[in-house]
Amino acid sequence: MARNLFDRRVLLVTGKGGVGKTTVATALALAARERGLRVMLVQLGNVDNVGPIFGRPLAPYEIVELEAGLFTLRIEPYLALHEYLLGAIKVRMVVDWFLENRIIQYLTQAAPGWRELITVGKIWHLEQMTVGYQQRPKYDLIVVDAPATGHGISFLRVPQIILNTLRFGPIRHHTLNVRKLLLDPARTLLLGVTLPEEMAVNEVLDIHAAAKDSLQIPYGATIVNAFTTPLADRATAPYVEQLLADTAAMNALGKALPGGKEPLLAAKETRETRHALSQHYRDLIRRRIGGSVLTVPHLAGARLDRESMALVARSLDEQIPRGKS
Amino acid sequence: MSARLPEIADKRIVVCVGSGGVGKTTIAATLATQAAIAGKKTLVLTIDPARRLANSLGLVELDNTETRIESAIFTQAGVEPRGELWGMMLDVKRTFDELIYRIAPNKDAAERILDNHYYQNLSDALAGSQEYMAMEKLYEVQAERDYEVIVVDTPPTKHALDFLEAPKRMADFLDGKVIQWFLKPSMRAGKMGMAMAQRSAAMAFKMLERFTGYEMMADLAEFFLAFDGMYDGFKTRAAHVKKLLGAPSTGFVLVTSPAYPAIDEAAFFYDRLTREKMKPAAVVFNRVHQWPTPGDEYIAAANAARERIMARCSKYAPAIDALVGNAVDQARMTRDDAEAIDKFLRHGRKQVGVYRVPAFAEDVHDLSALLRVGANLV
Repeated sequence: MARNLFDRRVLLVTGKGGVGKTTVATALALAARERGLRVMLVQLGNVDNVGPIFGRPLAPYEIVELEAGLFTLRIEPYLALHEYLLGAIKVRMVVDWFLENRIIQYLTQAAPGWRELITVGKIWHLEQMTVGYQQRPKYDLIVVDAPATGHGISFLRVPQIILNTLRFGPIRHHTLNVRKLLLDPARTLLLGVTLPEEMAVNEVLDIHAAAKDSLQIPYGATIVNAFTTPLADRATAPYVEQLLADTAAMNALGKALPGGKEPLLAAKETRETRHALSQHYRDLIRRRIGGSVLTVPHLAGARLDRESMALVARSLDEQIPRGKS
Repeated sequence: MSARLPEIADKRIVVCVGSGGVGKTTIAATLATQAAIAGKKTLVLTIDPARRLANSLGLVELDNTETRIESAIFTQAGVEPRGELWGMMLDVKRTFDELIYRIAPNKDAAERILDNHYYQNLSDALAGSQEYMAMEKLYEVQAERDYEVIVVDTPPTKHALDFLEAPKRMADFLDGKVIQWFLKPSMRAGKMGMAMAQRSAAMAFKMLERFTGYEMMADLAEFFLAFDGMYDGFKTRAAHVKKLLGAPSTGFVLVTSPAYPAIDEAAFFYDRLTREKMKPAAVVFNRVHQWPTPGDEYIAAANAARERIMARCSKYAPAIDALVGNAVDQARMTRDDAEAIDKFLRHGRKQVGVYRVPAFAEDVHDLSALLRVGANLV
């Protein structure tokens, strides 16, 4: 069953490295913006993947309006920490002095978990921002392109660990709010992106299991990227069969083409094998995860540019129903 | 059938690097299989293997045990290995635990760390622990076992070269100076007569406690204190690992797909490894689309012919469009891959072995498939 993913506040786009998380996150952001939402596209980690798509490098921790209604931010933990401390201490000089202290620098390099915590903290902060006297959300939808590590969801685990270990104090208080957002099915959905390939699918199965069991973050949908569509649509397919059976027509076709008809047949076979494999993995996901399974067609010769993002956005938009879900 | 990549034939350690999702594990398994067939006692050390491939080779769990791939599996695939193939799947947590036992001054000190809840919950998140443990395991295995060839598959991190820095970062993390702050409460008190720098640190420390709360600082202190006295051990170990990676008997194989952005990242890794004097011995382009006729010519000719025939044969027009369009798409992917590879090689990245493995329509998940991959790596 497809569902409207855009009536939440936060979409966490996860998956194995190289599956196209940035493509899917960007396309989702574009599709939501096309529906009139103000969208914030968040990048984590210190590689700027979104900038090149829009033809402009994005500095860390700077909110940029890429296009009307489409904003972006690269969350950099140190700068997020600086902002957090500035909010608490108010005096820039003191914050700078604090963070430049050698012992504090050692600690920030070494202490486990704080980067993850401050990162989800900032996502919460973006969700909380409001504008106008009516206090409507500054960003209707926040799409997060999760980091491309083997375990891209580990940053979502940290709030729970902190809560397990801290019984009181200001950090516990903030972390509780963050955790509440992550667990709230009315506001947050985790999305798994995969390719129609074994390892990527295994990872998305793991992510789904972790979301359900240990993380308890609501899982929204699985997106199969680079899905090989059939060679011909339903209306054309019978004609393709007829043509293949028509020796005279095929010979004429072969004569007109470089290399004869063999390359055509070889390419058809490759396409069919890849389509079958795509279907196999999509069906496997339907069986093992169920819920919403969306596909992004494999685009031959597509680059990571604005133009292909629009194509992907359109394809996703067609599969995401409108209205309440 | 006993051919190997000439660039790594004399290496004892082969490290496969590249960004996530490019097929590093497959290439590592292939190179190890080739070495075993050629007569070497070979180990492939992997972190996150393709499960079907691992299963088909008889590997079951990520548990740090070395398992021999049975020769029957080779026989079924039609080859007779002259050497042995062993596989091991890395258990990050266990490797970390073992390392701590190894470096800690005594058993009590080791257990204090293993019992610490920061360690238990966050050892995964500790600065690059996956890549660090992969290198640690490699170091241990090469020192203590008699494998003639060890092929390592590095973890799929966002910076594929994290493993180079991880050991050093771990040593920095345990730098004695930080531990001292937790060790000596007197230093934290910021007494008169202390050096400026120390007083300043004491103030910073107090401020930190204001944010984190006393409890968290106490926990953190316990965590750092548990590591007291182990700094030198970690540092020495890190230096050994670095030396091993830079040794002439170690060879790097850079694996990438010809697609963006993987190939751009690969170019970055190549240059970075070269700067570190660990220039890759070979570059493997994996999943390269290969069309029988050269891309550009086919695309132009087929597109022209398509229009002509469709006009002549209107009944089949949509079918012809689909069939020829599909062939043109595949020719285009071939052309794009070839262009991307040419661009990669243009920038002085030529003086190494360059190999292309075609994009198979099926997943690679058994030994026969590995041998098919291997046929392109000779």
